[in-house]
Amino acid sequence: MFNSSPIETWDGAAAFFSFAGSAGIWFWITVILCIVPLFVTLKTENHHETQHKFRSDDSDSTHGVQKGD
Amino acid sequence: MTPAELEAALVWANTINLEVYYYWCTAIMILIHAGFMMYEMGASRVKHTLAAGTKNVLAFAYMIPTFWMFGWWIYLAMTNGFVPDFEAGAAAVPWSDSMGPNLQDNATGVFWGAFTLFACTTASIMSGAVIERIRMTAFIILAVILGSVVWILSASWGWHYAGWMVTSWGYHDFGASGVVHIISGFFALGVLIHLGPRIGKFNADGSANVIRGHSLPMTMVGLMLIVTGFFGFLGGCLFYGGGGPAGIGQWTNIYGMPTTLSAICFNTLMGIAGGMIGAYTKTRDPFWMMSGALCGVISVAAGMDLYYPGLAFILAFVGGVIGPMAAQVVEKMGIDDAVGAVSVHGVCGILGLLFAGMFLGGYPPFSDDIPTITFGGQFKGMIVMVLLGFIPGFVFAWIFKVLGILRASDGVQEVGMDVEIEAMAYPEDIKTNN
Repeated sequence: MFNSSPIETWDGAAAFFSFAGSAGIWFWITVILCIVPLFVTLKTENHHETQHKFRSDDSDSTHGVQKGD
Repeated sequence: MTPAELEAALVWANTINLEVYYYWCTAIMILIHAGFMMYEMGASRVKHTLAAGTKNVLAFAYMIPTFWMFGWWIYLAMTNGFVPDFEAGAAAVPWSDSMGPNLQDNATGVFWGAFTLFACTTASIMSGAVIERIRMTAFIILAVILGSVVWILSASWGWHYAGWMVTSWGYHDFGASGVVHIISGFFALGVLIHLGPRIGKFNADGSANVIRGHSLPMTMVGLMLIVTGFFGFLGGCLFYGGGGPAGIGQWTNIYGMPTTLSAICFNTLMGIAGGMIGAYTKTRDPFWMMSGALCGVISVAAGMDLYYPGLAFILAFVGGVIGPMAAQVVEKMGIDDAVGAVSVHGVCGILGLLFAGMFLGGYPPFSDDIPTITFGGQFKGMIVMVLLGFIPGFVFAWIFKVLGILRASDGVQEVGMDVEIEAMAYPEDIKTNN
């Protein structure tokens, strides 16, 4: 972890990013960090969906004229 | 300095010019995203404002890592259709030496960046259509499917010199009328069919109500930012490579045909102006006047590397007239497209491809492997783009609908979508009648 350089000299260096050639673990952590927030977002959405499941006037159909706030 | 050293210096200067050029094209393209964010927030009612903005920003944020993970690979590997060429895509897998800082590769990062911003644009196009009722999680996943898979697959087919639509039909789409705008407009249509209208959009007899956003000025400024960002977008459609004096520095389109930045400047501006004037003439509506700029530039984008500027203006004017008319047709079909994305991007994208087929016959292709531009080739390309955009949008939105995560409940819509992101755009409560 503390020795990430793939090069020992700048002469003729090509890929010089940290862990070049063995970056797999960091790639998969990136994937996980993209997916986990979706579940967190979904949980928040579901909480508010449950809390506000019904409109204040249920007799009004979804095709009715928009009501004021 | 020896001639060999001089030649090496010229090649190196060319490389640095290329890198600088695409770096700043990418930065300018971010204005498109900023513009779409303002556009959508202004078009939303007060209680939905921040949800619209947050949704837009998260689409941007998700597009970047996902395009790095698999979007760029799709572009390089899928030119033959649905069967990947793993050898061609090898340099684009995210653990390859080219997909990070590399002293021997000044190009991949800036090209990846520019294409990533094209992907962000496609997601933004869908984003406006679905405001005020789509749930965040479903939207983010749909945005990733559109931007990091569908659009870039279309680009691999029709926006790559080796793409099968280019080599088979001579498909010509310089400024992405098809590969960006048709794809995202019809993807949005597929989603809208399952998402349904906003509460109150349609009456029981099927007639439509106008739902006004809370800030038309914000929307207009947003559209002007999009127009500005188009200079990065359309500039990024050029390639800066070989073919000039000493074999370096000639601008070409993505199909290898020589062009100039001046050509793009002429026709971008004429397209914007023609669309604005056409839409204003048709509607006398400030919203459509600004959307007309998009209608215009999209209607000429496919052939703007080759058009006479007067012709570009005329075609853009026609696009500016047809855009709002198409929006009325979409509304009459019972589709609630909050910002007219299907008509502005989808329908005007179709116009862009067909106009190129009608007016650009006879131009010599860059190589013998590519046929000349024909109306038939453009028409077939248009059909592919419509289907490639529509089907994934329709199918994935249906899946999310079945899972119950596509549309916010009526209660949440009534309170305002901002409740789901636990934020409030105007906490000091501005006076509003909606």
